[in-house]
Amino acid sequence: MIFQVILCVALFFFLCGSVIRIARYAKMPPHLRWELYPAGSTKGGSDGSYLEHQEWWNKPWHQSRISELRFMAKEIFLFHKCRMNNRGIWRFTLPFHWGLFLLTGWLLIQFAGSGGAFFLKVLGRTAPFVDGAVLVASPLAMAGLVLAAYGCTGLLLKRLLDPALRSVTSRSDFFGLFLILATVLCWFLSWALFDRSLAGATGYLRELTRFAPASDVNPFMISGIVLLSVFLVYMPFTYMVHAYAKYFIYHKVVWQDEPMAPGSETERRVEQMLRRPVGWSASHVSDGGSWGKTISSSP
Amino acid sequence: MKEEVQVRRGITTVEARDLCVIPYLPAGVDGKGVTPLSPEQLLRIDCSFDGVTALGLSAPKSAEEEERLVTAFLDGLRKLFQPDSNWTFLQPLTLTMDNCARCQTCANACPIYVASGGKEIYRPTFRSDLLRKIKQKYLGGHKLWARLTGNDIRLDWTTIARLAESSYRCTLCRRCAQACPMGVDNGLVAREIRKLLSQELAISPKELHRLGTIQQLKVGSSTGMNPAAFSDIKEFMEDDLKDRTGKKIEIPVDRQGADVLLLHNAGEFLAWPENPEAFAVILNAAGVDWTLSSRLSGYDGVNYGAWYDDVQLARIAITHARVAHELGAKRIVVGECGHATKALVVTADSLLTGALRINRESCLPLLQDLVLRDAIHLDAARNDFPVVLHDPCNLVRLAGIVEPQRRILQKVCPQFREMTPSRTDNYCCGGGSGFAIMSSYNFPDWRMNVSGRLKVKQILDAFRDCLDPSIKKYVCAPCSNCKGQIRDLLSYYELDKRYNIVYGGLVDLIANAMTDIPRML
Repeated sequence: MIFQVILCVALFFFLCGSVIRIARYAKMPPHLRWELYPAGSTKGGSDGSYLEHQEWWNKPWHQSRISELRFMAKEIFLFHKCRMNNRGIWRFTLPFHWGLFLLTGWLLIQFAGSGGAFFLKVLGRTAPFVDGAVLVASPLAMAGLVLAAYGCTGLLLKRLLDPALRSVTSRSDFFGLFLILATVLCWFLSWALFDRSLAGATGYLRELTRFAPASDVNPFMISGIVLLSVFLVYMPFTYMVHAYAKYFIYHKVVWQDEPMAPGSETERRVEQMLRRPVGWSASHVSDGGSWGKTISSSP
Repeated sequence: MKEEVQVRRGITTVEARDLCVIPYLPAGVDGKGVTPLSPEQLLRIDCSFDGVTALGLSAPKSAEEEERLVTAFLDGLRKLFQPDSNWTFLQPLTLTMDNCARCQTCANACPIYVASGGKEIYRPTFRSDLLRKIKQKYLGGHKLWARLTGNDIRLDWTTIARLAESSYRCTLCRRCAQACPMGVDNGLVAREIRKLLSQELAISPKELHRLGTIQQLKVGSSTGMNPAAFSDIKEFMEDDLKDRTGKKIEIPVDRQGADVLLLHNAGEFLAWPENPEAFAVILNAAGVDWTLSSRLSGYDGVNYGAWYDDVQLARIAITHARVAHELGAKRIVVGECGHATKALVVTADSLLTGALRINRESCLPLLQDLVLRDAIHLDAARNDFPVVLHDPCNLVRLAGIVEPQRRILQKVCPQFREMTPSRTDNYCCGGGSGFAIMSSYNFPDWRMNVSGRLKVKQILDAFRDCLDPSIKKYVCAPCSNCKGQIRDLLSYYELDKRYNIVYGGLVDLIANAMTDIPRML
């Protein structure tokens, strides 16, 4: 029971940490435009932008969701940029991330299945299809474990053995990778030595959603749960937040080329910032006034 | 004293033998390397980063002065992450600082890192990591955590000086950001460090600040040209046009209510007057209602603030918008200048609020329209020599203006060819972010040997089938800054003499193809 509590607390920390991080990014003031081309959101997947058109302000600004989704799919599922620019990392990071995607998918299916079955039971109904779905999902977890273990080992070895990478890898980078590898290996050994059908892991999660004590556990599963808990608490403080920060990087910076329209919300927010103090100390900017006043005056 | 000189010589130095190889060049032409500073200069100037100096910084004279500098640096660093003082770039900067995986995918995309033969200190992540470590230790308040995670770094004068110089070893081309799977922008970090130094410690290259933005706002142009001098140059250009074309071609100035206020980089008037002259020939022939401005800063479209200082960037953009409003112009069209286009059309977009709003665009779509709809009479046979297009980063990767210049060249140059890589994947000329005009100490050597190196290789690769000096070859660079850098590269590597490679803008080629005037090239 204690490990279930630990996992729940870790999950709570993870969710809180992630929500705080996301809220922090979302609440930041409007910035000056800093886009990059080709932008995934450009209509027709063109390299260029609307600035290629004369008197562009007379044409409606438009972003293509289809181009955007195509770009995102290439990045998320194929790691296209990494493949084009860093093949040595790509051959490990692709299976590593695919492993994590499959494991996350399996976890979500388990939680959904367990939750669904629980509520159906409350309603006095049986749900054989839930058990079926949960069993069908098991190969996902097995494939995920193998891919994540392979990819993570490869990334660790690459960072340890490649002098160019080793010199720039920090202790926290190594720690993060070791933590993931240890977690994955524990689950892998639990599966290989004790729980070939994953019935134990499935049961553990089911009992977790019902707040019932777990029955079918083994030492590797317990170790895996402890390590997973540590990872969940640690993750929101690391660069691994790119899992959700990438939304802001791409949609709020790199692809954000919407021209500021008169009377728009952006203009209102910018005007608000222009009333704030500049605050810098060099003589050419330190007149003590607001941004609006300082940038309208001579240095 | 000997030890002191040794310390200031640099973590590493740029040796010619380490640099990537440029084919087609005899050993004597390449391999000049970077001239070290003299022992006397080394006593005065800190070049403890790589033996080169862009800033000419001097070490503090006392421990107290050093402490004051360190405190000021940390104050600036704090402001970099506060919404009031850095709302302009807080979100992109924070996202970059938080999300770098240090996978080095960016390294091979960086022309400086590649050209240097893979020197550690030129990795795009080098300066970002340094800044991250300082932030974590000194602003995070977790010294023990910093020690545990390997971020234990001592912040003293040498660290600040190295970080400052390192921020001027990046051309802000942002090719690294384009390659990064996370979208992390190490180019932005270089600019933010420059900004911290400028806005808090008043440290910046004199060519960008004192002789650049300050002079532009006070005198009218970063070239030092005042409105009276501009009027003289305008008259000179009209006389020159008469000599070259045999026609009286007027250059309108301060025409009220014109459709187009054309904003040139003032460097064109002094170094390449044939460029604004070509604009005049084309726009007049096509019947465009246009004007130049003689007001303070109204005849110089540059905005060096884009490279190092948000306040100066905003001041200049606002000045340009005011000039256009005073003239009653319907739109500002920026001439052949990449950073001026990006600064005014893209970056300053959200700074021009309310009554300051004015329509702004690059000259390339306008020129494309005139050329493609035959508003001027052209004969491509007049440009029947190999022409290669250089893509200015600020126009392609940073503003998405990729096709108009190509469509024009396809129409007016029968032997038009591309560099490899090109378009949004292009390499910087090596003079970006102010480098082309920074000429202190041994910095120009570094610019020629390192930051411009891949551009030389690209130019030679593009012309490899016609290197015979009897064939004139033309590098088309529709950007003043790039043009200056390419001029210097051609001369430094003797490509002009050895292979008959010349350079110029895009309008020069259009004007040369016009049938109703004599050839301009």
